[in-house]
Amino acid sequence: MTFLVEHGPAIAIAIPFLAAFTVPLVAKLGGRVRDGCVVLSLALTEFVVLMLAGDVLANGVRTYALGASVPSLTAPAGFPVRIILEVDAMSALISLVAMTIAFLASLFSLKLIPAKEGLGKFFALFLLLSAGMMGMCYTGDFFTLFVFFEIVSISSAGMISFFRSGESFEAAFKYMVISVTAGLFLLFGVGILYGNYGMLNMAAIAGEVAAGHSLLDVAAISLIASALLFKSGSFPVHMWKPDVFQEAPANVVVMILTSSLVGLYVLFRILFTVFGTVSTAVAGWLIVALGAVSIIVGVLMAMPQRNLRRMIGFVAIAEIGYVMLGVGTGLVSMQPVNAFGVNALSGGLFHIVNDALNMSLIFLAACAVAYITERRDLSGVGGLAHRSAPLAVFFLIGLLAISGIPPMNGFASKLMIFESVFFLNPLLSVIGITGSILMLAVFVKVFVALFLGTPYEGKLRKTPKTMLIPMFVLSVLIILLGLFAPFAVDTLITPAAQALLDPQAYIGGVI
Amino acid sequence: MTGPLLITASGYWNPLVWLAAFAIILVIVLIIRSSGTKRFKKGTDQTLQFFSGNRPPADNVDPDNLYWGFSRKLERYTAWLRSWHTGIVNDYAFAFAVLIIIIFAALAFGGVL
Repeated sequence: MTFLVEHGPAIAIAIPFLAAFTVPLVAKLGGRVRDGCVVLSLALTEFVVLMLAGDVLANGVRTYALGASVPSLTAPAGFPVRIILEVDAMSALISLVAMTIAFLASLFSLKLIPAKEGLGKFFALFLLLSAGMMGMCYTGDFFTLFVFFEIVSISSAGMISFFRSGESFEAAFKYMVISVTAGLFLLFGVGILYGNYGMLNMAAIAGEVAAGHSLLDVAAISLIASALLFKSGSFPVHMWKPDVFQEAPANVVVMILTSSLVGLYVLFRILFTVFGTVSTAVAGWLIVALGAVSIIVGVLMAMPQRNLRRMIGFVAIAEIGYVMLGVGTGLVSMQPVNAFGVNALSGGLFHIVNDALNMSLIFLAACAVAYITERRDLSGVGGLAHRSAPLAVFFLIGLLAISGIPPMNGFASKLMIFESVFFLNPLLSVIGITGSILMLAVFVKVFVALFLGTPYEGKLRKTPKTMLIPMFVLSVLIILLGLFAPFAVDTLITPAAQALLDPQAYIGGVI
Repeated sequence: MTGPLLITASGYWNPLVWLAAFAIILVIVLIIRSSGTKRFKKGTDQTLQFFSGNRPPADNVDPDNLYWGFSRKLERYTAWLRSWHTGIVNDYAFAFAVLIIIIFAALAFGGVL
């Protein structure tokens, strides 16, 4: 166990990476062996991530220098030049969420995609995406961040076009073009930082920024933040999201949704930790403004949509807006730190967890409906609650959680955000609450259309257990996080918020 | 955080108290329901939807029409928003460029760095 924890950061990235290259070969032995390999590798990674999170919460930041004789040896010649992975309470939380969703999405995938040639390659991309997300969570330097950013982008684009239809190719093409553009600008920003400071390590650069900064830093942070905002699907670079949600397989959408939250985490890491020692009020207000507009645009565009997947894509944009509203408020009130700022930050971080669970559940439930009815176009399908009660219950739980209805988890995080942002500007609370009400209206419409009314008379497939189990686990997590929200915030969220608010702890892990 | 209370910015939230209150209200509702009439018969007019005293239409109300008035009133805004979402990848790249400019301008002229 000590070995697992000590080498945990590297192992959590290495397992899905190795599995990604093994699965296409193992797939030759049969579908069951392939599926077993995928699920087992992700379960192992989840276990390592869990152990690592427990260790970090108990003992503080864990640093891992790749290639060093001792993993904690970050500065062999007094200067941090190695690839360094760093795990604190914040990155541990996000990696735990990302890996949990990846594991559940892999289970959901087993029966979702019809067995055909090339499924091994699909799972290779799936595992690469998981490894990329782990890398983005744990990386401690900017260049490795760029590498993992590209891995996530390329593997996502490959999976979006998996159905090989005209529309999925189009969605993948758009995603790829804009991903490559964002990736290049990210690299450009990293290059500026390297040119300015002669180093790539985040903690080391944070130390230098604290000592003095220039306009070059502004240019670098603008480029890097834009790329990460693209990855998270925030306004005004949100337009790829509905396209992708409409065409990609359900399990891929869930993974892309999670990777967008990981992108948001990296943005927060850079804003708080690397540039956290200088005044960040304007940066905070910018995040708050983009978040508020994301909520408005997301829900207003979701309302008139007739395609369920596209509609959920717009809701996902609004949900990202809530996270930005909370964390942006935390950033505004970082210097000096005040109670409502900490509360807003905690609410925003709690909403990352809740968003990943809630959106995944509702999307998986919607896609399970498409699976059992064998229809991609769900117009004309109704009354399914009479014939598939579990799906109706799962969808209802997701609906209530996303809309922030008590006692679900979404209510707790939104309450923390609304009450906190009120102190910054009451209008922000009004926008947030209105968005939440409209979100409820949008999903009630979908629920009525799919599950109530005259029962669907067409033939229905049985929902496989491999689909029901992930939705059941997500539902249980949603309810538990709602009922025991104080415990969850105390145990997981507050340490993560403190990790963001205390850049010195992160910097001290390396230097 | 103090015990089972989630401290929010200006108050607190206790989900277990909410759950207890919900359970009590549910019991009261069930008691009231049990004192209701027992003359309900399946398959009769009693089971028809209430439609302002008229016979309900043969088809269900289309869910798309649930918020007809609201959607109609917002049509101008949603049409304006929709006009941005052209689906053309050049526009996506343009939005990305605009975002870079906004962030740079805000940070550079906002005196952050």
